[in-house]
Amino acid sequence: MGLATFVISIVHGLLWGVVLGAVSAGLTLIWGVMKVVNVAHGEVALLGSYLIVGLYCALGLSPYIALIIALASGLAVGIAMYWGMLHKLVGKVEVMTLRVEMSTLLIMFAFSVAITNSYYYFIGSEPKGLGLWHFGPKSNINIGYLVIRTNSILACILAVALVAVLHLLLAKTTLGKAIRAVMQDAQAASLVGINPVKIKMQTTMISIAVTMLSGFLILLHETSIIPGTAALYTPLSFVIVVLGGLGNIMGSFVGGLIIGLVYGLSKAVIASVFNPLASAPLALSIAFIILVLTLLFKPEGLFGR
Amino acid sequence: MAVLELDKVDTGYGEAQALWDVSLKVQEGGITVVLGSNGAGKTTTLRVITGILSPWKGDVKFLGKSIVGTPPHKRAEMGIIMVPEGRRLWPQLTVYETLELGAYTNRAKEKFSENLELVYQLFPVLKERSKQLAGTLSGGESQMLAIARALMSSPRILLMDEPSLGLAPKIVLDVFKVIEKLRDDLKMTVLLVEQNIHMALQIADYGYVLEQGRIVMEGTREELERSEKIRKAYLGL
Repeated sequence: MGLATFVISIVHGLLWGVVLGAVSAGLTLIWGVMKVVNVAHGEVALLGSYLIVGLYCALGLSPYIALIIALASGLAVGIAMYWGMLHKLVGKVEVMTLRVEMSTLLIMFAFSVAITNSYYYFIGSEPKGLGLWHFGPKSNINIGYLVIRTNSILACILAVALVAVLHLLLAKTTLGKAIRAVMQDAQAASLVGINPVKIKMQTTMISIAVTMLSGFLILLHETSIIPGTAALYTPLSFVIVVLGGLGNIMGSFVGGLIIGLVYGLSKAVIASVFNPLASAPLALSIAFIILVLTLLFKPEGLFGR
Repeated sequence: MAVLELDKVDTGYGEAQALWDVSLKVQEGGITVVLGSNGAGKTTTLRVITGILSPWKGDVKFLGKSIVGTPPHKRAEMGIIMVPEGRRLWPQLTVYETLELGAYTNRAKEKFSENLELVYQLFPVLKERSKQLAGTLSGGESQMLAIARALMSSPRILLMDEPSLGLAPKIVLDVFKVIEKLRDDLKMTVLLVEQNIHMALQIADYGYVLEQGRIVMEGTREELERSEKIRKAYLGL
């Protein structure tokens, strides 16, 4: 493997890693705060992607305006998911039992199957994307032998902004502090006047809205998406959230960078020394070996508590 | 008028009854203690008062009005504030953030700076450690932060669940001095639940003795101290 390939795979790995970090933020929030094992995470993100594609292609709306609509819809979908599926399981102050946590996993699993099949039925399995739409005056930037799509750069900028806003929300606002208090001890939170059930509902709204927004990043990075795209992002988000520590936004951002880099590098190495066709699946396997190693040796995550 | 009143309360967990016919009153501006050994039902009594547990029978009144069915966060808004057993701090929040959340309700938010000043004056160490995570504090400092968090909520009644538990004797002394100070200087109404009967009796104005989920005795501090039963069973005299 030459130096050029090495540099290219590092740059692209990092670009994707930033996106992965932002895509995982919603999962680390809903899982960390509410113990909702959202195995429909990637599918929810695609809901945002498809919404933006639909508004752009069918109505000719600018993706930026579509993004704002996706945010508003995300809050609404979050409320619907909370009252429709989660409230009966998690809408209480007591510590969640493992049985309830398993129930959230199963209910989200059912939801993911339902939503994926709806994608196949209503949208179909052909790739959907923003066509020739690109960020800035050109679609590509060339730096020596490096070719970077401007949409990938936009995805990075938005990803960093998303993570920064979410981090500030949790660190600085009263709502954010209340969310962290409920995550660490809901009963103690209720004793100072915080309503943990309301906080959980708001956490669901924020998590789902952020996840649907991150669907735009996936769309920008992947160029086009199919229902099966979720099957890549859901498992990778789980790896990243565990790696970064549950409920830790910055942790999952760094986790995303690590996984993006590992994935990019191992793909390049496998392609050059072994078989280019095997590179993508094997690189994914390596990401999952990291999940296993994290759970075995540092189950609280790299930045866990 | 009593600030808080329990009227013939029965309750328990699932099928297991833990309290039988418990009645007690907490008078304004004094320290009322509930004494009893482990498993006597002291914490259960406080859970009924904070609303974490509902009574099966009987009534809980705050300022003369029944509060049965009111959830814990609403009771906190009304001014029923508890320092829970084992502190129950949020380990990943800083000392300052913990105090800010203590003043979460609108009623407490209005008095934020006033209460913060009071709390820093009572516990200067918390000011020094304001940026430190609560999880890194020592046992004594944690107890002080737990009390401070409760004071930030502007309590109408302060409930304290075993504040001496797990603390070194010297720190226990400090904590009790603070409780006394709250009554004497701030005219605070306190309901204290303790296993450390010797210490609790020293600061009590009125007390109840719980045994196996029933109130078996009540009286002023002098009455309890003179009682043969207490001297034998609890003080080892």
